[in-house]
Amino acid sequence: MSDDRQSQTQLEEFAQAQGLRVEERSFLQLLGGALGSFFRTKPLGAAGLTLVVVWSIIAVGTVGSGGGWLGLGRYDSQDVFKVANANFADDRIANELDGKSADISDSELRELLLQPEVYGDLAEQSGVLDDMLEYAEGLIASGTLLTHLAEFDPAQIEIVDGTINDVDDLLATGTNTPLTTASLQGPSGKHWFGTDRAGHDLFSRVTEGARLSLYIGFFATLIGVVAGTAIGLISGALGGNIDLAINRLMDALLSFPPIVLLLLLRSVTEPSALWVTLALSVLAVGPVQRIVRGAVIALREMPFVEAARTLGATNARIMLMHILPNIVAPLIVIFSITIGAFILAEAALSFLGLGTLDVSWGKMIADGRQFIVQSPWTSLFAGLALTSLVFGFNVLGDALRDVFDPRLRGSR
Amino acid sequence: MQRYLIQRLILVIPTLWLVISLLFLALRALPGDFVTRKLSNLENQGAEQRESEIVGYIEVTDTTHRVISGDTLEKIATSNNTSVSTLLAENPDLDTSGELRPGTRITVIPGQLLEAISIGQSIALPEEVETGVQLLIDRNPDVNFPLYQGKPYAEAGSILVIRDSLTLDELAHVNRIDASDILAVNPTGSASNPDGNLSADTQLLPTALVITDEGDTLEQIAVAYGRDLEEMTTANRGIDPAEPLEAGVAIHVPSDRIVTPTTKITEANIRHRLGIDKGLGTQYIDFLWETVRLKFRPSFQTQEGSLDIFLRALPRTLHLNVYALIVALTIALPVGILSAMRQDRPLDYALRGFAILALAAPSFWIATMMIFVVTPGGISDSGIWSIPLTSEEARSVFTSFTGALALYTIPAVAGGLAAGAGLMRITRSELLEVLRQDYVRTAWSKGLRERTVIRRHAMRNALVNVMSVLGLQVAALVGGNIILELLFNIPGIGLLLIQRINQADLPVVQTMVFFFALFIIVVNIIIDISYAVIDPRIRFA
Repeated sequence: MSDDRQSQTQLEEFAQAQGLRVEERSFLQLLGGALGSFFRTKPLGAAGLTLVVVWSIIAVGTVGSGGGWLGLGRYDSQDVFKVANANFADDRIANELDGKSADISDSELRELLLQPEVYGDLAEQSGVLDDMLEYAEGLIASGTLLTHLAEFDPAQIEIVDGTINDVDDLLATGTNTPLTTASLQGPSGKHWFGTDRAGHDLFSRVTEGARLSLYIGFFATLIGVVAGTAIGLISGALGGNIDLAINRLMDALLSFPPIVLLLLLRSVTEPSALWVTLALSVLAVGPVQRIVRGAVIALREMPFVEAARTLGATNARIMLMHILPNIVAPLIVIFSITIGAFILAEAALSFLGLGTLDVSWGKMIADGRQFIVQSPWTSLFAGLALTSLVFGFNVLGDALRDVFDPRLRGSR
Repeated sequence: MQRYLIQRLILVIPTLWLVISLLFLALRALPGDFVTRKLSNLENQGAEQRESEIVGYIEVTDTTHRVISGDTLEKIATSNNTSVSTLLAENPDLDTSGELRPGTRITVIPGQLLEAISIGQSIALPEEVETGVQLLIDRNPDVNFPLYQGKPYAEAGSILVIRDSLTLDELAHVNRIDASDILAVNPTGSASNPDGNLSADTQLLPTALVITDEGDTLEQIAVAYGRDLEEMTTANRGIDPAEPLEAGVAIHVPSDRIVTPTTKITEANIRHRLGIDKGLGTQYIDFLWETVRLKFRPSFQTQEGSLDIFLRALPRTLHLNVYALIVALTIALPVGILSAMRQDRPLDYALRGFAILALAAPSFWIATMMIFVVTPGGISDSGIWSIPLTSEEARSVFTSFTGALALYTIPAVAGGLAAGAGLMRITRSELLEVLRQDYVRTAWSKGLRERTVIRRHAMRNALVNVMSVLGLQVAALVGGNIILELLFNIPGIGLLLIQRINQADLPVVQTMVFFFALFIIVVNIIIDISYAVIDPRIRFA
């Protein structure tokens, strides 16, 4: 402490003698300064950083139900929306519903149906319940089990062994219902990006999709880069036969086309975010190991390493204290580029139906593909979101590479 | 040089060994999966069944026959199990006025012997989605198929007949051949109709093919499946009922009624038949030795040779990838050169921006949106635009070049775009590097025109490096186009790989992944060696 104070005084004296001014800067100020110069010198990279930050905020903001705790998603991504059925035969009920709302969510519908007057109307006048009954009887006749039918209470109807397990689905399946699923709608004031086939609001799903992409992209890269760095340090430090063996193993890993390796790994694991993350992280190990090993071998003969060795530092200490800090720059560059690639890979897996069960951009593109003519919105917006996020990481990576490691420029 | 070459080649051996071992390790979980899935399927059918297996199915492959001296159309037709009329239909341009000229190429679609298939179970060929649905509707006139979003679907609870007998006509339809062709190669009838007299509307009964274990006799199998011995002997002519058979013989079991065999299927039985009942170590050694000799086990699912399946899918994958590569190069080279020549001008920024965007956009999304933009009305009823390899048009892929070009365009452009963008950036940076060299400056100072400087002096040197990167791109391209094969229903290696992984068909997956890895290793060696040939410094380093 006193040493610091002393050197501080010396510095000030020296500065005064030279006619210079000494300013103290906190870490935040330094960071701000670095960011400022980054924004000035690398506008494209700065745009990428902005995109990444915006998507990250969206991803965090949509955690939770009903549009997320920040309300960024506007609606719950699982909410099924209904619209009045134009083909509904009974004018009275249709008018009544029309007057209430032209476009309501399923929770609102449930409330509406459970109101005695509407419910009574439905039962007596519209034949909706008759339809439901008829349909249910058909299911019983064909061997599908239907329980709790006697109550005639829509909320209580539950079909155990069929695809239908919700009263909304049951209503949607009947031919003569006052409300129908708001499927494949175009963009509107209520649904900014339109709705998908199941009647979900697309905007809320696109914003929620960012979460999975960022989560898997970030953690897969983190695990992969850490593992690759560790292996690279070991093989670079030890050399000899161990290095040879590790290199052959990495060669073998790199011999599989990434998507093939992914398919293989995914086919033997479960469809959870954890396994997708782990499968992806395997892909990063090989390339990271190569780069780290190359850097270690180059640094090993540097004078400062030799100095440390002469002072009696162990191999582990040299690696962790002297070499690792010197390869942080290329690692940061690899990190940002790999995240982009992994987000694409996760989308590809989901597109193939091998991803997770959560809301995912890849799955949305695949869903939208089947109705691409009637409604291109599902695929369009999910793809645009995906492209913008990957674009953000790519240009950010390019810019970071230019800043940290000019030698790597143009290698990709 | 030679020493360097030998060094490189020796290093490949441990890599290959590790690849095979990793493959074995990664897939070790699959056969267990296959067996449990099989067992649970049987359980779902509500009967303890002895396993009956499909032995092969009809797959029409297009092959080219090269006429040799003395060939006649009849000879070619006979040797390929097909008819002269089919040959003529396939080769409309064939000059039949005189003798066939040696060297002429004739497209042959070989027929298959009816006996080789298990009728009734082979309805749903993997790529026959649309035909399969239509057939299902045709087979079930009593069932109502309401339309939902333009697609017919069966209502919950309806009972569909799917393993019923087929007429010969339907069989021919499913397999994309004429009924007359089947009749021509099966003059004496089938296993289920041993009396012969086939006609287009003959009902062919489903015939399960049972693969024998060592020592099984026809009598035992007849008892196990509750069949008369007489029935069995007529269906399997030339096999002595009491004689113990070798393992792996295919026995026809006429199954016009529900099969209720008496022998229980156990996990051990299935494992034994698939050859995965031995210890892990033994299996590993066997697997290594088989792979070294390029012998691959037959498919679990269809009993077909894995290598055959792979080779059948290969051409389609090659078509797509070569086309995509051409697209990539067409984009990359001119655009890259242009961008480098106008460095830091608006055009350069625009082109680079395009490249970064193309790298960020996933190919499957680009393809999906291209479908919307390019073919707004051209989508089939099922709602999925696909290369119609199942219909008449499909054959045109192999006979008419322009037809093929049109069909593969969307996937090839979508696949080539990202690869092209990557290559473009490399072309640009390599060219910029070269343009800074002294000899280029000399060329400028000699007063040469820009065109000459770029073409003669800069481009040649820049291309060397671009080409070596191209090798890596090819490997990435082939992997990436797997997803496009699925999207466009191109029955190439990628589509097959995904299907077989879903079916847990271990041997086929192993074969395909092995060849994928081999391909990449070979590409890497070629790059390595070409570097050494070009740059002596590397060789002696």
